[in-house]
Amino acid sequence: MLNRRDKRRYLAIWNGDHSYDQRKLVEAISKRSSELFGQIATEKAKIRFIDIDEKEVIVIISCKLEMLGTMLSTIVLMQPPIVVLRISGTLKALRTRMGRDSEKLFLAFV
Amino acid sequence: MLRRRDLCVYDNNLEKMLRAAEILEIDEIGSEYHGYVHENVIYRLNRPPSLITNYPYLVVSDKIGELSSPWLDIFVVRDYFRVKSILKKKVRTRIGLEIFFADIRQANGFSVGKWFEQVRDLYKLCNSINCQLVLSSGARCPGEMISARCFESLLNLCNIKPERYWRELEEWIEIRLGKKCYVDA
Repeated sequence: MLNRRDKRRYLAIWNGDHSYDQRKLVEAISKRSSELFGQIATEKAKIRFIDIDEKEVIVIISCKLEMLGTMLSTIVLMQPPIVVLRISGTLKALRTRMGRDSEKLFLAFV
Repeated sequence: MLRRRDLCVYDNNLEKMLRAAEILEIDEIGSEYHGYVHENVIYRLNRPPSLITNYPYLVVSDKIGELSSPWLDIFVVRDYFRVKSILKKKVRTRIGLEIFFADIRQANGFSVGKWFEQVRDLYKLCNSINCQLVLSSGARCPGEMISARCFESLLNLCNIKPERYWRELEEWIEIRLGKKCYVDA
């Protein structure tokens, strides 16, 4: 049986300044992506909101692997700025790494 | 292993910027000198210091009149089309031509598209006149910094192979810093 699932990547994004409403972040990224790369590329990326941490400063989103480069470029070109902290192929690995680095993150970004 | 560098971040709190750089997998940053020396920082000066320093530095300017100065390491390109012809005529070989991503954060899609075309053109020019293209974030706080992975996506967008860019930048920095007289702290 063929595996038809999309390969996705999970992105941890620093939104410490609360520049974007947690759930509207995906909307803002999609809007900027449409402006820069067009509607077709944005739809193809299938950006999804996944989770937010307890302190509500790190938002996890996902997108299709084949459009990862486009998404990363879009995120860099957002105003107000947001930062891609980590990228992972699984949510579990991303959460583990974010948990391990949480102290470092707060020292650097807060 | 290639070192990834963001040669221009502005912040008085360099320790914080260095912590952020570590998280974002940027190995070395460039920043203004505020009297303290940190590891993994190349300092940006407006003029060459009169005395021997205990830190590595690059002399940076965005003034077109200083383009041919013998002490200049990096020329910041603010408006490429305005300076393109002057660059071709006046620029000295092996200097760095720097562009900031911070300049286009607020730009609309049309301007961003144009900007990337300028970078592609500038990269071709750099290759033809033997200069080094330097792409920097121009971040003013940790929240504006760019991770190494994002840098590489942007380089791909400029039709620049990331590995080649990091390698050429490393070689160029080694040559530029090798010419300077500073005491390794």
